Amino acid sequence: MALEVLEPGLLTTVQDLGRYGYERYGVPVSGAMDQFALRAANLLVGNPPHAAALEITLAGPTLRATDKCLIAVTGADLSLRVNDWEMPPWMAIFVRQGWTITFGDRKSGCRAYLAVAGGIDVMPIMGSRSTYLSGGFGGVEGRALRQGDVIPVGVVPFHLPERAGRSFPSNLVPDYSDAPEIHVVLGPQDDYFTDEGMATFLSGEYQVGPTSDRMGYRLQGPEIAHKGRADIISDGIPLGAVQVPADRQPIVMMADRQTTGGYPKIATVISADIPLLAQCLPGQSTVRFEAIGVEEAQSRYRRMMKALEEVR
Amino acid sequence: MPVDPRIERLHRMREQARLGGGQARIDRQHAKGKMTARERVEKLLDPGSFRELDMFVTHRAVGFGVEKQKYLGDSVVTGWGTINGRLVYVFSQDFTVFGGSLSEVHAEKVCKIMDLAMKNGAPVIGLNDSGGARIQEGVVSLAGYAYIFLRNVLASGVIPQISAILGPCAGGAVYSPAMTDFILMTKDTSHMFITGPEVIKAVTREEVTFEELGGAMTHASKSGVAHFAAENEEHCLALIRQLLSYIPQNNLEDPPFVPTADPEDRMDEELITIIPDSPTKAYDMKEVIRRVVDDGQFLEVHEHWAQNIIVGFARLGGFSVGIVAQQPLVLAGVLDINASRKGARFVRFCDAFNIPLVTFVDVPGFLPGVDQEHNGIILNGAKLLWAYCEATVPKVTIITRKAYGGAYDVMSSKHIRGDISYAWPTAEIAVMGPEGAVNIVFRKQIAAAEDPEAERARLVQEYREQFANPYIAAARGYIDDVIEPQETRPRLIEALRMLQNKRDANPPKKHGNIPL
Repeated sequence: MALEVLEPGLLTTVQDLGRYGYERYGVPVSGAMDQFALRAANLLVGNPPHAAALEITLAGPTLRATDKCLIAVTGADLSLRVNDWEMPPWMAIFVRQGWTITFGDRKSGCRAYLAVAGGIDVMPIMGSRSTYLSGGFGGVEGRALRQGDVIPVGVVPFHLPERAGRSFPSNLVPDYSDAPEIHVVLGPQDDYFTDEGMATFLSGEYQVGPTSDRMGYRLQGPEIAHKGRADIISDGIPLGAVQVPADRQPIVMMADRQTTGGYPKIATVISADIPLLAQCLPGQSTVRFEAIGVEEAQSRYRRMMKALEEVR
Repeated sequence: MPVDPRIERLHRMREQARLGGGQARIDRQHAKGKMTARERVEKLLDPGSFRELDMFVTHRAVGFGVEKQKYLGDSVVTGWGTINGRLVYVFSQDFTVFGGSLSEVHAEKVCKIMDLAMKNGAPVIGLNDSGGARIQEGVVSLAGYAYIFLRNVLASGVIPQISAILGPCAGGAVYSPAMTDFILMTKDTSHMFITGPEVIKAVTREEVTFEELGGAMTHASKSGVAHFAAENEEHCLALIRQLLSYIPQNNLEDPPFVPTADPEDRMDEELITIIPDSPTKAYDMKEVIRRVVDDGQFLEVHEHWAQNIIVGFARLGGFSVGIVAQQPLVLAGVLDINASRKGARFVRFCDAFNIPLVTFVDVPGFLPGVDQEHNGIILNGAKLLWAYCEATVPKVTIITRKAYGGAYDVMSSKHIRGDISYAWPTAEIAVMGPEGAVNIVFRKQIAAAEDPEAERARLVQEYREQFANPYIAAARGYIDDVIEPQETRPRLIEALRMLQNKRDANPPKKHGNIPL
């Protein structure tokens, strides 16, 4: 079983939950930008949460199933069509041999995840099938899908139609907004900023800049004042770290972030809100930040993970 | 111009009826790889030909809160339309409404079109996708099934009845399709069984999946319940259209004549060498069939079940024919229980609907075995014999190679009202094969010989020359002619044309007592 790529879409890559354990060698984590959506898609088709899927950006690909398969598309709503039927996202769909999977207009979000029962079965590199575009490895030859690619899918131990028609509870599907409120935990270098700078960060509206990508979201908005120099001795960068370089415009570090950096980090976006940010549209969406405590951040993360258990 | 509110209301109600159980359920239907009831009907029939009946019927049940849940049309879409311009009646169960379950009104709608079909002499096509009885309606639902069963039986042999299984079909619901002429199932998304995997596990502790128990390939290859296993629903609906092209509208009509560009006098030299030199070597009888029939087009029925016999539809000089043939590639084309059942049912269908039978014979006999005997090869083999005896349609037979023993009698022989029997020069018509015959007849002579093996070989050779040919039968007129293989097509077409106005009948009776 495989998916033939008839049209690649704008930027379609293979992603799983990321490449862990190699950051000390400078290898970025990569993986799905919206891991909640990836996990949900995998759950719907009966995959383990870490199975590799396709991350589809804005303009979706056209795919053809070489054999029967079970798919689910979660995350952004990009007007999925299967066999020319309009299909809702967040649902397990039985696809027959030769049927095509297409996408249309964006209705919400920025990145959709297409999981296939059996998982995308490309060669794992350093324990992960995620594509790292800048490094040129992982996924399909380290690059985005191209027309003519044939994406292998793993074998499935169950009768596919039995899971078809299952959907993710609609009350648990995240509400992807184009102007979300993003929660952060302050620090680790919030003491590098003036009180005024801190207040600006937490009150201003920031647009997700047009050059934002899988590495980082460059935000544009009110300038955040440093107390002094805008650099630190380089240290590790966690997912969601908000760096503020000398130009006083924040950058949120995302899946393909470099492993270390020398700009002070004013705050860190909480894990539970990374999906909301990942679904923001570069050049269009705006965000606001609100600071919360670590315990609240943890409880939000637990709540998100618990939602996934309801599908099981 | 302002729209009359009464017309607007009609439009609104139609719109609502077309949505069946609503968009969410339609999505779920699609997610299972299935079309909706109406999509199937549209795909099956000629474009724009469908006329729906009873679109505004709603169920009458009360209790369990169902009185508040009503859907226009309830759980089945019914009506008429055309296939290749010919009238057909259709019912299509709507899984989006109460899981397609059979309510009182569902049954009434189905019965209404079946009654129309009977009166007007046109086929009924059932597209089945139903969870079973409407439990909330209790015994009323059971009565509904029974009304349909009765009509299936009354209509049998009068109008063609075709059942497509496109989803679940379980419990008593299976018996309506079971009593129709053809069952088609879609792979992966349809299943039929009396009791499901859970009940089987509880009762016999056997563990089996839906697909293994009652999926399309299971019924197409193991049980013989399904005549066709379709790759998907489009394929299934296309097969129904194709199947109907060979079949008349009812038992009083002749099957459709479809002129062909394939010359009637087309000779096929390849047929001369198709029979291997060794009588124990196999060849593909389907190849023979395809070389003889119009345009090589053969619609095989029961392709995967009892493959030692081949049955299916084709045309010869434009005439629709039912073909029955041994398949030497599988079990040497021997007749066993399943092959006899498969052949018998097909012969009876063709006879009921005036479709001439063309039989290609290469049969070594009936399959020996304790299992066969204990499972009733006697009664089951008799079904095929019965069917051929009973059939009054034109019957033309070609013996390509072996026609041994009782199986020779069975396979459309002259003695049971076969109209024309031809043999190829390679035919061997005898009580049994040379080896078997020599071992019995010359047992003592072989045992007494100095070199028993050489003696046996000599006698086999002698027997073969003397008996293993078509001329002893031809000398008695049991074979009308010995023909050259390459002229099979023209000779068959001539015979069929000669038999075009054949009239034959069975004695008046309530019905015979076929050994079921």
